[in-house]
Amino acid sequence: MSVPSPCINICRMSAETGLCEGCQRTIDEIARWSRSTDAEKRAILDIVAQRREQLGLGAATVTAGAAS
Amino acid sequence: MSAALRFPPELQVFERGWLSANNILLFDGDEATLIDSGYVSHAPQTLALLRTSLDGRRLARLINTHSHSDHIGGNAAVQREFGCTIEVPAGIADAVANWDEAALLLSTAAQSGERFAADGTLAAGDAFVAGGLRWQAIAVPGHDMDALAYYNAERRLLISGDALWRDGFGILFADVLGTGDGLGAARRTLEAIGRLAVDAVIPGHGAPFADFDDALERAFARLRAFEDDGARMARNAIRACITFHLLDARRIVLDELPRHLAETPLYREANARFLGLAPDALAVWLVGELERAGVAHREGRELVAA
Repeated sequence: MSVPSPCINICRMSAETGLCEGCQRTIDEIARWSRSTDAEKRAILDIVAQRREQLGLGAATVTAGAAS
Repeated sequence: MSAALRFPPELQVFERGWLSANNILLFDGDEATLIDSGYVSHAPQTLALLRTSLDGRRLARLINTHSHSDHIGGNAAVQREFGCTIEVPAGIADAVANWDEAALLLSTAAQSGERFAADGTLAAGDAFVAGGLRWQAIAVPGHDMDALAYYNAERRLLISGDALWRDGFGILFADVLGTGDGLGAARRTLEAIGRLAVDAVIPGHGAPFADFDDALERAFARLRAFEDDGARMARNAIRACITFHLLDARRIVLDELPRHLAETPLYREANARFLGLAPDALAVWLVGELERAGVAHREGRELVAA
């Protein structure tokens, strides 16, 4: 299984931080996610973890999928 | 599958979550085609993804795989922003033109959408060129009886919408609602796409994947389980749809859940046709399921999305 996307379906960019309020990725990181290698995805998740710490957020939760 | 699937640079996939379907952007010189536009409340992020990827190129056309809110929700906003044309599967043209919120499953499943007008339609057998590739429209009824998938024979790529995911397929609404034979249609759809030569699938939800045969096997297994046990299909539909609602609303007042389940046609029909539970009992079961799956937790008198 490849590296799971950190998307938690909030999908709203913060004007203040320039990051998605749900997954704390930049718009470029979201746009190129599916073209990224697993190593690049893990690097993005590491940066996301650092950003969450700086923003005073807890560890990211991974949600199970629905079935729309 | 450890390496990312390598698509031509003219084909970009925005992998979204569950509330928004994936968006596929295909470039032909200075022009681009988008397939599916996500959920209405995510439209600003969809526009931002498009602006950054278009990088000055023109979005000429938006094409949908089917009519559900997580695929068409951004249509109006995308057209406003970029002035593109919109083409929808022929089978949903009337529902879109009349903005029939029941046929579009908006009111049926308590979901939101923004009205748009289609400029054209695509029918099974039609073909278009996008990303330098010729895509043929294939009828994939089941989850949506009018859905289309788009297939490129040269690169053996399948844009499957919600007819086939890596692990399953979308809710078979027709069976749950009692409006048609979604199970039979889904079986014929899986058999038909199973005859295609496919190296990579770009599904409506989840990461693009290469293990087509395994995905088909899982989809057939799920279909058999639903054919054998309608109650299981109904429970699955109720759980999936309320999860979707929770991702949209973020929180639900627990005391109001039984009324929501009784008043929203999808839950009411699924329950009446397959389960026969009192709304209170259905709510108790559902909350337990959502907590166990980790998609929601209780906060006081509310159920909150994880």
